Amino acid sequence: MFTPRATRSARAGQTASPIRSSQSPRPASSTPAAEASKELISMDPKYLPNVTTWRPELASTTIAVEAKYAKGKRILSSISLNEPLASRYGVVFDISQDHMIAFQGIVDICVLSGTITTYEYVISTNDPWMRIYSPSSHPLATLRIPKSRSSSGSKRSKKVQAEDDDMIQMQALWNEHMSAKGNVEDGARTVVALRYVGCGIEQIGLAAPPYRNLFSLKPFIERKGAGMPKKFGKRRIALARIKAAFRAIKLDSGGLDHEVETDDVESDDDALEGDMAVDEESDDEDVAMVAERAQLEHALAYSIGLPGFTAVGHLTAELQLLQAPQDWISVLDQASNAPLQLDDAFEPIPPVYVVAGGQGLGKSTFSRFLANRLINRYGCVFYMETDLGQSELAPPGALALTMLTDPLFGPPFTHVGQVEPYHAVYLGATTPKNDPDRYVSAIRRLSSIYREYVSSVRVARKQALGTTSETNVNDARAMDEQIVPLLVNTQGWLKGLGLDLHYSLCQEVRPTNYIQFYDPSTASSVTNAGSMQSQLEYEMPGYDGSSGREPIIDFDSIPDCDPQLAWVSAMGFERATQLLYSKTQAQNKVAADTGENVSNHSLVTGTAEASNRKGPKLSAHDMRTLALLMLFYSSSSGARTAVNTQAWNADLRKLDNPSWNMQEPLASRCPLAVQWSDLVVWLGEEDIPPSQVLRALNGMVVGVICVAAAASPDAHTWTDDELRGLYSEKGISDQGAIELSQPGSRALLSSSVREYRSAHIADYSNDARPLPQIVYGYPNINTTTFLTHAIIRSVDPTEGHIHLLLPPLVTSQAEGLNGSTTEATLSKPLHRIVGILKGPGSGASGIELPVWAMVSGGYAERAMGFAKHKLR
Amino acid sequence: MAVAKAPKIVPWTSTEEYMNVADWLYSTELRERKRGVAVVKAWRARGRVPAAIEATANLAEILIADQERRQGMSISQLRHMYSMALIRFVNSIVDLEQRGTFAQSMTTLATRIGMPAWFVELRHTCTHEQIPSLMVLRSACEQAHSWIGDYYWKRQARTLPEDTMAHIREAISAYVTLRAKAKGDGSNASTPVKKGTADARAFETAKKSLKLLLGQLHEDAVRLYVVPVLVEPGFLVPDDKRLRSRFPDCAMPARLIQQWSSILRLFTEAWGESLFFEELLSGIVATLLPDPNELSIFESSERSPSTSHAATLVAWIGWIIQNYYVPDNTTASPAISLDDLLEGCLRSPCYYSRAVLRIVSAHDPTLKRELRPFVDFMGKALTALVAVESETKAGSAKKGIRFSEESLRQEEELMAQRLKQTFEAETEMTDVQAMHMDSTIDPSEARTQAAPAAASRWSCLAQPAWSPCPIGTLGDGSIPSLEWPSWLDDVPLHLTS
Repeated sequence: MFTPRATRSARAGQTASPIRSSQSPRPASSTPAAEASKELISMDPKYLPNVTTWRPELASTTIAVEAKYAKGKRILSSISLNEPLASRYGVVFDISQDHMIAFQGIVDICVLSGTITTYEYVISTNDPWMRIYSPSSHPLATLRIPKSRSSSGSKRSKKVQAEDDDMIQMQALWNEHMSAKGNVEDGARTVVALRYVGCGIEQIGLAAPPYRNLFSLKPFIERKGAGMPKKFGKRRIALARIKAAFRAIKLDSGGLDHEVETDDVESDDDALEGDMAVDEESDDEDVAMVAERAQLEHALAYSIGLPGFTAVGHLTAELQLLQAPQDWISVLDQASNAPLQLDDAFEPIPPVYVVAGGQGLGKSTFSRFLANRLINRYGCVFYMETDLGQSELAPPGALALTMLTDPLFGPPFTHVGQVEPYHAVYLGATTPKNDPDRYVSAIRRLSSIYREYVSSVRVARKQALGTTSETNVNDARAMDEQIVPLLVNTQGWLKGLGLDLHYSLCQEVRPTNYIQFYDPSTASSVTNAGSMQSQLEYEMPGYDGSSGREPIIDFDSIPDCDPQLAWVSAMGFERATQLLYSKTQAQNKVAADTGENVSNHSLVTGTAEASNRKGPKLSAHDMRTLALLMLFYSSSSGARTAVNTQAWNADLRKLDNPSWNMQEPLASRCPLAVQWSDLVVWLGEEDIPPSQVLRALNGMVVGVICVAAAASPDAHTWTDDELRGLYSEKGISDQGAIELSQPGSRALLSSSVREYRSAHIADYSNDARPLPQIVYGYPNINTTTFLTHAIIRSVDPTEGHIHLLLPPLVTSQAEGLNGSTTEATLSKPLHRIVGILKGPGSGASGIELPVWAMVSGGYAERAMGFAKHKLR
Repeated sequence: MAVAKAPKIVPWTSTEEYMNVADWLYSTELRERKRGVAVVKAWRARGRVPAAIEATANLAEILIADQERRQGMSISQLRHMYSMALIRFVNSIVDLEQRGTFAQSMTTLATRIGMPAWFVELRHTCTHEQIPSLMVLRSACEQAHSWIGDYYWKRQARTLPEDTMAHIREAISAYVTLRAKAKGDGSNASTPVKKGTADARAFETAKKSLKLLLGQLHEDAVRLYVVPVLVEPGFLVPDDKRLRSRFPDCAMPARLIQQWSSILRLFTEAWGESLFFEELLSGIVATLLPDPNELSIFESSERSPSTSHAATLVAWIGWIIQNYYVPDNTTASPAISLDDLLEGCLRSPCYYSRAVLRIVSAHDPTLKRELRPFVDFMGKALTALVAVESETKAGSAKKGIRFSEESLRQEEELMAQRLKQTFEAETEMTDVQAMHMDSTIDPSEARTQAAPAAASRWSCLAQPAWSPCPIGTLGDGSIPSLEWPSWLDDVPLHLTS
């Protein structure tokens, strides 16, 4: 039995910091050991910790653990006693107000009582199962109680599927428990159910070995060993491991003995004092501490008992915590609570958020938080992607306008390609520097589509309301439901041409809210460079000086655009680390007021471990690779498909509902074949002679272009007949190709080819296969849209076929492909496809097929083997 | 397991394609040069093209344009194009040499890589001063084009592989025989070496030429050319059968080691111990063991080497493992990895692979424990096979074979029946799919419909017609020729408006 208490608070333990708070009660040691052991065998976690909690108030290097309430699997096992159920469903546990659960892995959560927030999204009992990803490449996701309870969702109740038996049963279990126990107090608590769902992403190592540890967490002891300075030698690690193993055995067998525990391990403040005094003694204390923490994590894992979900008991050097500083929170709160602005006609103005800032400042994280807050409030949000290199919702290379209704619970690669964009423009490169004009016109196009949507909604609403009543301006909730805000994710390139592009973006988008990142560290170092004072100010999260806040854009120069400016501090990697290891705002302020002694002291301890930290684990290139892999390995569109199993106990396998299939290499998958004459091949600026086009396409990633489906102000909306009209007997007609291409493109039309051939080529034969329409230029952004990425898996010149691998976004609706239903409708994305766009090569910042996609499954060897055979 | 090293992706699909382009870019025929430039343009859209190839294609393209003058370019336009190609050529090639913290001068770097100083001067003139005359530029670009041919293309040593292999054969056998002569005939070192003798001098020249050749060969060439030569009869395996090893002990003839140890040392110096010996091991395994995809278990193939040849190769494996392999459980990290070797052996169990596994087991006790079941299984299967064979030999050979064939056919039929019953529904589905695929493939049939339905444009390739294959290849594993006729490049383009 471990002893819950605050450990290794800080060297400043003797100061005013409330580390050894009264909130860490030791369990009554009077409990008879025999009883305890019996209960443990029957899975009663009365003496097990059920919550990993990290209290920001007590933040130094410590995670405090509480064993206040013993819920855990007890509820499940006491009510249903269903073995497969218990192994799949995690603990039903509660979190108190000032605690949070930090974890790594993948988990489905469902709130049974109260509300919980993660990624700044508030999940309530109305929500369906939510899948949350916390990979090792990113800061740990946390579950905690929202600070302000006001912002519970408005529209989201509609999303609860009545047929989600899984959740209904879970809630039934909980209610049963409540009534059976007569536990009145339980009703006030926040209770969360966790579910294990094998979604396939955790097997990424099969498809791309370097990323195999993306969702696994090393045991505490190994993490500790890796992160510690040399002082913490191997011998001690080994000792600690033995101790931990010994305790684990005791824990498992149920033979818990807290007498030993409480006597054996002393408080860590003492341990630290010992550490400073005599080195030999401190060895043992450290070992005890490490062993205890290791055991704690083991106990947590035991009590939660969910595969793929690792609650973190103690932050070791390689771990970061997903955290939002106070100034972020206030801006986010503003977004979710501020009343809407009204225009002259007393109509609410849909807010348009632009988040701007340089690279590595936490812009993506903040945008994700903001998107979630907006979804919380409005039910959905339009997300405009203008960052070509690190897109949030799709693999790189495209500008896209996407309607989001599901919150973003993970880094981009966990939700890439799940939603079809409302409208998108493919550039095929990871930077706009080679085609800035097209970049800006794409933004213009997307903005006008958004405005068209907004006005159409307004017209529809007015019609619905009729003449009977006016809009009730006072009903804020009702107003929110009629609004779809826009969130623009911008690129971090803000110098030279990048700045010009950003200015153009603001001109086109006309934000109502402009959120700009500023770096407090550079700000203070400018004002008083090099002094100790600046050092301290840098550490101070709540730094609120106004220096260094240079607006990027002068909005006075843009007509009809007067956004509300908000500043958020940069949360780069270093600052995040410092925040984690220095104190929280409140304490820091106190420290700053009373003198530097305290904060100085705590900094020393912090930086010791902080210095062992490494920077972000994935480069932008890695993120792009992962995004592409995840797109093509995904096996269903819409990760949060409702689990609908009537016989949910009988067939638990169905619950797995894999969203990714990493086991089947891409090269093994059956591709879709299409006549190349049925496609327009756009080559952009690429100088590829027509004779070499097939060679340039084989094995490449291309953008799939289809006719636009979104209603647009300045272009016609396609009908089925019009779509059919693009085709002649020999594939896409010349007129169709011209119509679909941007004016000013140069096209190799099949009619020209025919004429040239009959005039110049001697052995002209009539039965020659028609060519695709090759266009040196881009698709027309008014009539076409980018749908998704595809891999040209192979080209069959004898059949005139191109074989494509398409993500399930397209193919899942193509199931009746070979059936008798051959109606050409715009409703199916596959049938709207009219061509492909090949961007520049990877040497010119184009989109590259990840090498892992080619070699996985031993295909590289085979491919090389073929090359060898050819030589012989 | 160590992190798998990511292979490098090149834009060409085969060495053949690469070599063709090399030939085309230096062809005297305008048409072929154009083709070479066109292919490099396609490569650029595919991936990263080495700077030298990029520069060659650029220079060639300008030279072609100058020769054709079809676009009606003025002299000043041509001069601008020439000078840009020259500037980019010098910069990109010299930049490859730019390493270390401090930038070195262009001239220094150019001298180091043997680039004529004239190019660097011209680059300076083009950039900062008056653009030189067309005559000067034309001649400079021609020279640059041929210089890069020497600097890059020839050094790739990927001229015709047969030539390379012949060179390697020649150099290796010259070295080995001359060394034997110079250092005494091995077995009884009766004549001590005297410097200055004709033999010794011949040996020195052979050594020099071999070293030169090794310096030119890229690491890939080890697998492609050196190892295949070494495993041929007459090299690591002597032509004289009396000098070869024998099963089952596979002892290494001392004479062979004496003959070869010195040249093997040269190889390891050139490419590193682990690289060379791992390649050699996998080469030997590939020779010993037939491709498991092509043959059924224990069936002997025509490509299999003779018994004594195999025994000697096995002996070499033993020698390599003995000298260069350190089992995992000791402190030092193993110099060479046996993963490929073991995989190859376990994938194609036969008499030879069992022998190899035995040798590995003898040297690595940990592996021995893990391998024992496999070795035992192979042993049993082999005895069974031998028993069957001897039985057939004892009786009427023909009868025995016919019997087994008949039984096989019967079994096959039975299996087919069962399959049909089990997957009847599925088969029907596949038939439907196949039909629909036909309808899309066959243009005449699809076009009979008045308005082609959009849905029929797409078809799903299903298993019977299509089988998994590397990306970029077709179902049968072939790399199709993806070039359209070159006259297409001359078809006028239509400007959309």
